Amino acid sequence: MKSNLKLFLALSLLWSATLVMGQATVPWQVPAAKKSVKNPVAVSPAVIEKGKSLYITHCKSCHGDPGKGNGLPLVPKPTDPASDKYQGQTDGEMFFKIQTGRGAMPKFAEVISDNDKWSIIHFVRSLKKKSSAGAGEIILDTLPADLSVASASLSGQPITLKLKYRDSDTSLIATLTIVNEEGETVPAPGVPVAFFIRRYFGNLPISEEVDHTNQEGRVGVSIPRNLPGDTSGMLHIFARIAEPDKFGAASDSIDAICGKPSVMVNITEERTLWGRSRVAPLYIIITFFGALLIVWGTMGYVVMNVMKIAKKEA
Amino acid sequence: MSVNKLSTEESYKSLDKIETDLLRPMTHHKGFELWILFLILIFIVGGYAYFIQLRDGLGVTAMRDYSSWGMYIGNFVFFVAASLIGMFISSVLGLLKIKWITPITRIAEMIALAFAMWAGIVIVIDMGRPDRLLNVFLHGRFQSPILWDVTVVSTYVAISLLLLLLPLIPDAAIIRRRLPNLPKWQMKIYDLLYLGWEARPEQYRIIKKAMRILAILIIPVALAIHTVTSWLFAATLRAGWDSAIFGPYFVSGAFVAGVAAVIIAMYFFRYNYKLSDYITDFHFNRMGQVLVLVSAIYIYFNLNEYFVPAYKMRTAEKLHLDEMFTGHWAILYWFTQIACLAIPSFLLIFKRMRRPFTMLWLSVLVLIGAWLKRFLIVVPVQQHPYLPIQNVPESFHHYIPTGIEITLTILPFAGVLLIITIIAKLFPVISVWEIAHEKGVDESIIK
Ligand code: HEC
Repeated sequence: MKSNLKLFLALSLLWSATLVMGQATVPWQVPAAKKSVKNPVAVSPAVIEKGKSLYITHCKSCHGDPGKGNGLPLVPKPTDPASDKYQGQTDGEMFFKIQTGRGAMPKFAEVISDNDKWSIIHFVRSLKKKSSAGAGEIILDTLPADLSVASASLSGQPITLKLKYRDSDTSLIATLTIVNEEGETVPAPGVPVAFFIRRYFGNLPISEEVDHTNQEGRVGVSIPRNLPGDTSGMLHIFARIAEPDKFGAASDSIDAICGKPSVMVNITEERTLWGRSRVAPLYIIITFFGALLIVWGTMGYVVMNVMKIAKKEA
Repeated sequence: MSVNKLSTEESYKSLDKIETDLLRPMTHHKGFELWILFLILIFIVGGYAYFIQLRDGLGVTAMRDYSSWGMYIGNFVFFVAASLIGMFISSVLGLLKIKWITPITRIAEMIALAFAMWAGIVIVIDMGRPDRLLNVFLHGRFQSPILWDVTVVSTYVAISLLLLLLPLIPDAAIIRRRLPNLPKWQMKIYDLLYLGWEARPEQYRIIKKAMRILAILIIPVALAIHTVTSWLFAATLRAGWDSAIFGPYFVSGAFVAGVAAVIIAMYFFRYNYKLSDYITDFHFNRMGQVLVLVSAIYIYFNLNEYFVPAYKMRTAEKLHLDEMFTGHWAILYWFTQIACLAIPSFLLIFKRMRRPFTMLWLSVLVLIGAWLKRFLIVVPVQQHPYLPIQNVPESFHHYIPTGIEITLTILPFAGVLLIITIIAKLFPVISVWEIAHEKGVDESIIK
């Protein structure tokens, strides 16, 4: 809700900004000295992971999911980080642009630290490299080039999705298989799978981004440990193919005790002012009957006393 | 007590005169039958109106979704208000040891009992399905002022009845002695009531103690009955009802209505029952002063109730107050506040005005104002809900009472008068034994 609002605000702001600037599609010039700056942060999986989460927080709202080209329809359009155009820049160019911004692209000089900006750049660069994530690990967003070939060959066949819960690290693994021309069941790689937890009002995505199956046809996600479940901590989980138009629909669901048990209080059973008579606050019931007893008791006492008038003289 | 005791001979003479004067109206009552006939006529017309309402439902009234409380509820609040006078005269003034109230306590208690009893009936009249009345007790919520209201009104009726009956015990003995030729059924009532009264000292002790206990007990109950009635409104969030001073505001207003009602009754009994030796100019003078006092207190509460929100004029309140001060209800509002409250109480400050006849008319004005005020408290507020009134039938937009409603509002007044008439026919309207006490008559012969 809140982020929608932010997005909307940003959007309208940017839109007006773009209007003011005119259709400025002049190439973005970066000074030569800045262009050749090297990324000072050493690359590591942790850095990439951090860059990814920073990307999701600060950039995804405009630039979209890498490789999907689903950025905001601004003019000029925020470049897809997985695109050749984006990847064609030097690290220094990227850094400069993030630092200074232009038009609708905000200036991040003071917003995020330089180190963090470099981490984002590492993440963006990693999109080009081949993913080697195994089952259960969270693999990176964009299809490695060879997987997209593999997934392209899948089309047309019905895919089967099997969901498994692994208690040791509270993760979910979806295994996708497909029957090939020879009638063998083989893994279905490169298929985007979304994981959800069923809630009263709609489904809660477990992770912000959608991951793809690896060569073994597997994709995993770990479940945060602090999700409220039902009274026994049970979560109703399900996974489905994220792009059913492209890959066909398949889903599986599973119940697992991996959430926090919720303490359910039925507020209509509590003693409240607004509740039914049976659950009226005790002080009200005591006051009511107490006052009634005192008043009618006194009246009874008076009447009994007055009856003594009738007693004949002793 | 510093009353000069009379000698035995003087006592007998004095008691004889008091008895003759006070019991005379019971047997000499010109036009009694005609009056009863008139009341019965109202009952027949009212009964027919009620039949129509029962048959066709509350749709025959002007009450709709927005003004779902109309004249009936205004009438109810008025009746509860008027009934508070019993507690005010015999308890508050009585416990303060104010002597001059003796000849008017019974009048006040008759009025109190009659209004309290009919207050309960008025609520039933307001019900579309009176057959479901029992549900209030079966399923009533302790958190709701409604349950408390029913409870406290019935309790008040019971105490008022006791407070009326107790002082009738010695009087019943006197009636048995003085008027042995009354119809048999009537004598049965006195036989039951006099409890073998022989004017023995311990009998006096018992009755005085009982009356004292009841006089104390009735104060919190009377305060409760009208405070709870005010909470029916004040416990909501509606602009115009959402007020912290509604309790005392209602109670102080109740005394105004009650004192005015007693003054009217005093006037009527003084001249019709020829009681000018007992209800004297002095009593009118004093009641006039009491009316000024209670009106002043009530005006003070009005000031708080209307001008504090009017100073702030919060959106919802402004809508309501504008309608009252300058809008749709302005004429009625200012008539009620000025002509029926400010002017009468101002005039009564002057001794020249505190004479029976002027006081009668000023009290009538005050009483009319008291009734209109309840209407103004109940009805206009409902025309300003927080959510705007939209897409509803035309009749939902305003509230103009129908003929049936007006008839069924008059009916309870006839009912009150009927109860008072019956009590005044069966018993002396002034307590014989208490007057005799005051005159110094030897206690032991009052039987
Ligand atoms: C409010 C939307 C918005 C956000 C948030 C945003 N960008 Fe941009 N970005 C744009 C737009 C619009 C452009 C194209 C600007 C132009 O070319 O004038 C752009 C361009 C860029 C470019 C230059 C691409 C090219 O092809 O020249 C880079 C690099 C970039 N953004 C990185 C980021 C990073 C990293 C973040 C997060 C820290 C980010 N952006 C957040 C809207 C955004």
